[in-house]
Amino acid sequence: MRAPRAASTLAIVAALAVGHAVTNRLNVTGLESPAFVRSADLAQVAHLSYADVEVTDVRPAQYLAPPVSDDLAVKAGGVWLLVSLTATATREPTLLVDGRLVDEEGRVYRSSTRSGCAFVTHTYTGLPNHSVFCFDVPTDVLAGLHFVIARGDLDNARLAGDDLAEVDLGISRSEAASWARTTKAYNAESEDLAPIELQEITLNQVGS
Amino acid sequence: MTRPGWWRENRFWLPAVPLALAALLAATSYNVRDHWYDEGLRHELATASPGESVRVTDDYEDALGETKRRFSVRLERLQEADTYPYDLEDGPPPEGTRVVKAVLAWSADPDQVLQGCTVALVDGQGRRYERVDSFSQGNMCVRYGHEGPDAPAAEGDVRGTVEEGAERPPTWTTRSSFLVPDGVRITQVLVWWERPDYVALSVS
Repeated sequence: MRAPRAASTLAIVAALAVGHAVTNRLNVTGLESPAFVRSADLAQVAHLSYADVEVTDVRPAQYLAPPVSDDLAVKAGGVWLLVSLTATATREPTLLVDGRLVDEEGRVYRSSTRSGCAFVTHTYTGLPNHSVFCFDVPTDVLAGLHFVIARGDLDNARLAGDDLAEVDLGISRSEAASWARTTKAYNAESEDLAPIELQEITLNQVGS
Repeated sequence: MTRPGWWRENRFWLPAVPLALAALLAATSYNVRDHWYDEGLRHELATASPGESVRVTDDYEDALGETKRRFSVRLERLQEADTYPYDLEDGPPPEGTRVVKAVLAWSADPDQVLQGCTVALVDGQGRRYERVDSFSQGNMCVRYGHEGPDAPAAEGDVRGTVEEGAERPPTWTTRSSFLVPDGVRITQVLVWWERPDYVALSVS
């Protein structure tokens, strides 16, 4: 009788140890569960379960002119990066709530709220919708930047186990060096059913 | 462990194992309703054949508590149009798309709250098409200027109160426009207020 009892005791202790390890050592709460990353390159469609997403263009700027023409242009702290996106819902209209950049060190940059560009984009079933996200990023992180977007909030667990598009913007080191010195200015754009042509503009000085 | 009598010894506890597992699953799925079931259109309140009117009772909750809305609706027809009513002005549909209008015939008592609904089209593959503008989605089931009562916003409000001049006639018609890709065949019109409940009107 003694041996089976010892075996049972050992089994219970082992089960408790495994349970302790699962709940304390492993991330099982969902917050850290990774999304299903669908990778793509510039001008390549990422097929998510709920939308097709394509970054069609990326370019730098020093200034962005706001949609209201009387307002002053906004200068980047680092450099503006304009990411043009075309997205189409596959099953039902879906809001893509968050577009971000991730650099080679894994640092995350949110789209700028002072840019006048899109910070969410609507997707419509079977109907391509075009949007432009504008990021103010440090000049020394341009090379290797990735754009990520999903329907879930990237800050909370609702992205866990859902699809996420990650697009390599294809910015090389030599390109990054010249982009960091750009003096170009563009009109800020948000989203439109018609393809968006970014307009390079010339700024006029006001006041003295 | 497999000595004779073990099964007999545990005959009362073994049936409890599946029950315990079921209880475990139930206890850990408390988010399923909020984060999945209630977020989609999953509960068909009523359905109607083409041209048939359907009487609907929709249970919902407003600021005063649980209540119902009762109405009848019929899909009169789907029709094509040349222009789409964008937020700012009417204009032609984007290339590769067409404009489809859903004409719905309604009847309801004047005190029923019917503001704030959504109308959508569904194609043969179950894909759903909604309006693409952001401003005019709110009142697709009533006519502008004749919306009828607002939902009570706070305790003390009286349910069914109609703003002067916004009285709704006993029967009325709505026309909702949608942008649909060329070649898509619409098979259903859906109407809903709060998910997961919806009304399905067959086109053919």
